[in-house]
Amino acid sequence: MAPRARLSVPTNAALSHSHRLSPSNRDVYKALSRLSRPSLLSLALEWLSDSNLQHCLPYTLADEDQDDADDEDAPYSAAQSIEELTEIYEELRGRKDSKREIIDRIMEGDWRRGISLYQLAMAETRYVMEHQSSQKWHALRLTSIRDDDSGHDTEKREEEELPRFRQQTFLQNLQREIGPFAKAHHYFMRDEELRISLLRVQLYDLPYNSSQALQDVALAKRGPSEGAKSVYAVFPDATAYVYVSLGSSSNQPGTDGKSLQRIVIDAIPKALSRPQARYTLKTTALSAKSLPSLLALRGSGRSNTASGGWSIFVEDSKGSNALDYAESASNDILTPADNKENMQHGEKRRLETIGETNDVQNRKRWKRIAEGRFGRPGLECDGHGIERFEVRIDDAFPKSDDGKTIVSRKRDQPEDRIDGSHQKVVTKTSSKSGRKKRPSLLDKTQNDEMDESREANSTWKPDVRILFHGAHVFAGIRKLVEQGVVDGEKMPGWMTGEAGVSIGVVKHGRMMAKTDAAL
Amino acid sequence: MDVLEDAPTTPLDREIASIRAEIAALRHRRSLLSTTLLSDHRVRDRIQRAKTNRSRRAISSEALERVADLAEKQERRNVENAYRIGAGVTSFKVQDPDPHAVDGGRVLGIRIEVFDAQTKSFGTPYYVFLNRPYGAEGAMRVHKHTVPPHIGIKNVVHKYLPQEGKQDLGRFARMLRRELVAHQKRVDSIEGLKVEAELPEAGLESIKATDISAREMVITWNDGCTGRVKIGKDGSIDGVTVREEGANTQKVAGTRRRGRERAIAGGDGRIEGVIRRLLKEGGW
Repeated sequence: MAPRARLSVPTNAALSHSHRLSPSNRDVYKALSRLSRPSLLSLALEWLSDSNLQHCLPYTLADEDQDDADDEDAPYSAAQSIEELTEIYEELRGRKDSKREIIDRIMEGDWRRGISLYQLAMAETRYVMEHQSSQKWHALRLTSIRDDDSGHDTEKREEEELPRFRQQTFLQNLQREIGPFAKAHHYFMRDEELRISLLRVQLYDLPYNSSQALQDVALAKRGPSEGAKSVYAVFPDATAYVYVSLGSSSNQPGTDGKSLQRIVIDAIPKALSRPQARYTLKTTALSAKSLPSLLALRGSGRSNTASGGWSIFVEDSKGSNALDYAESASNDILTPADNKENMQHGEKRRLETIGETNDVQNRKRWKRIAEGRFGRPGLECDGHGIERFEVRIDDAFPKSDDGKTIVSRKRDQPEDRIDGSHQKVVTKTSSKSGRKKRPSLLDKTQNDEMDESREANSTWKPDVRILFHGAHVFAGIRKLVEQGVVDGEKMPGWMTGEAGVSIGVVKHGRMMAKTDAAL
Repeated sequence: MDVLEDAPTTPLDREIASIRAEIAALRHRRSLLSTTLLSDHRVRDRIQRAKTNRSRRAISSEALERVADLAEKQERRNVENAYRIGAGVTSFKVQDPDPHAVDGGRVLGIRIEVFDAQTKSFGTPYYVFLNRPYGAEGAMRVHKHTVPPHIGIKNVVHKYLPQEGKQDLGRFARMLRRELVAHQKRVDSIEGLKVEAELPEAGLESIKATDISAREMVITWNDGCTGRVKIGKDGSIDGVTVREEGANTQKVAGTRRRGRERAIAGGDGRIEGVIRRLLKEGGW
């Protein structure tokens, strides 16, 4: 009797960790080659560790005996045992082989039968965690749906708590949501240092969850819009925030891929919901590339709503301890708290306009002002950068006869030249009837339009949008203040990053972020 | 020996380091001495007397002014600290540096002290800053704060500082402090449990809070059992499961150990006594 072919039945189940992708798969090669040499080696050793081994079995002599394959052709001989393999990779650390050779060894030697989905996921998340600026993260917030309902029931609201996050239950629920649309592979990773859990969902557009189907689809469809789509979600401990990144492992996903990723993101709050406690994700108007900056602004610490100059209170420097009676010790050490006070005294003094003399004293004063306004963050090296900061000014245009603008600039030194490499300010002015390119969070709502028509004619409100763009926008603005290009005293608060958003509307000189982050 | 290995290599570097350390120590001593002296009421009386009949003394008036100024500052500091220690919640005024800030940038700061039992000192205080966006008579609103999100300041604000209706700043501050202190107490008790868990007869491998909110802790036993304990805000035990190590496939959860669960949740049902109850239970 001929052996029965294994059945492939369409199913809603998730893809198994141990399904293998063929070594010729481009995703695999790409994922591995992105890693640096040392991290590639430690990844291989991690695969061989006891906890991961069951999903990452390498090709050893035992397999060779079973296969009785023509091992003369193979470029690498199979290892005797896992222990030997571990030793080989430990040894490789000290040697000087190129990264290319190690990848070859992995793909054609020790894992010649293919890299499992679990291994691929480990490789990709390792890359994401090592290059924390490689993805663009959007900070979202889990909100209870009950909150949105018209009934402002304060007693019920009081009991609102953060959803409890349990990995296995969450994955089960998530799979139930995603399953009917695509086959997914889930991988969870925990980073104790950052106190986050990272979820990677890789989507495959295929009906079966067998290993064969996976190989077929990987071989058949290699068009530009196909391939696997992955979504990353970060769950920081003890917060209601979720950071989402629409990573794509192979190619730019087409519309199909985008909607699949959308499904995953929509599924996250549903998977966290319980009966009587349903959640939805809302934007918090913050996206940035670096995870640390998101953790500072939407994390579990104290700094969420106290950024900019207020950050001095997050880690109190001077006189924080109520048992500390020393008063005079800090005479010679300038702490940020001191500067804050100095700045406030300075503010009261009327000083001549900036930009005439560039002497040392002015520089010192500017520096002090900058420290007072920006506090501790806003330094280039702090790694808490926001790359893109977009605002719409919703105030009436200043009258021409008083001639004052919020930001006074030196006429002879355009900003780009002073700090060109660091940051670029793009100011775009268009009339209200002008063509809008794409809908944005900044666009006026109907309410805004109605308010405007009521107070029309008396003032002129151009649609001004400012886009700050650079490696670390607020460090750039701080530098401009220190150079005296931007008047640090008249500068509005939103330019210090106080609002903690990356997109928002400025009204009456204050940031009206479309978010509930600041209560 | 270890210290020497860590120290910088060249003798010059070592010398610089030791001088730096000496400077720091001397500075500390100086501030300690000046604080003690200036806080002494007899010293203050003398300064006061010297100020009134200046002619007899040979001290320059400038120096005297400075000393008097310092003494006054120290006095203020002492009073402030006394309030901070005694009351736990203190307030101060802040000027918002933002030129467009509401209400002329007038901000009321509330400082909440929480005592940390491990370091035996007050930790960094939590701050809440309030302003009045609708004018001097309008309602207060939370402007900025440094309260971590797991505390749930939003709930306290909704209850005691609603935008419409009566606001009660005193109760707001008290309730917020209560939440913060409750959190600190949970953290402290888990730390206390950690110390107890080191006893060999407890048979525990580790005990720790799952995250900084200390609302849940994980206990692992030497025999492979894992317990998860849900902790209420006030430190009561809300729920507990103890399971044996799952089978190799990891998908199958181990059987539950009801005896241990009962021991953890029993008694007065508080986290402080968990280990003691487990020990009393004995063999399970």
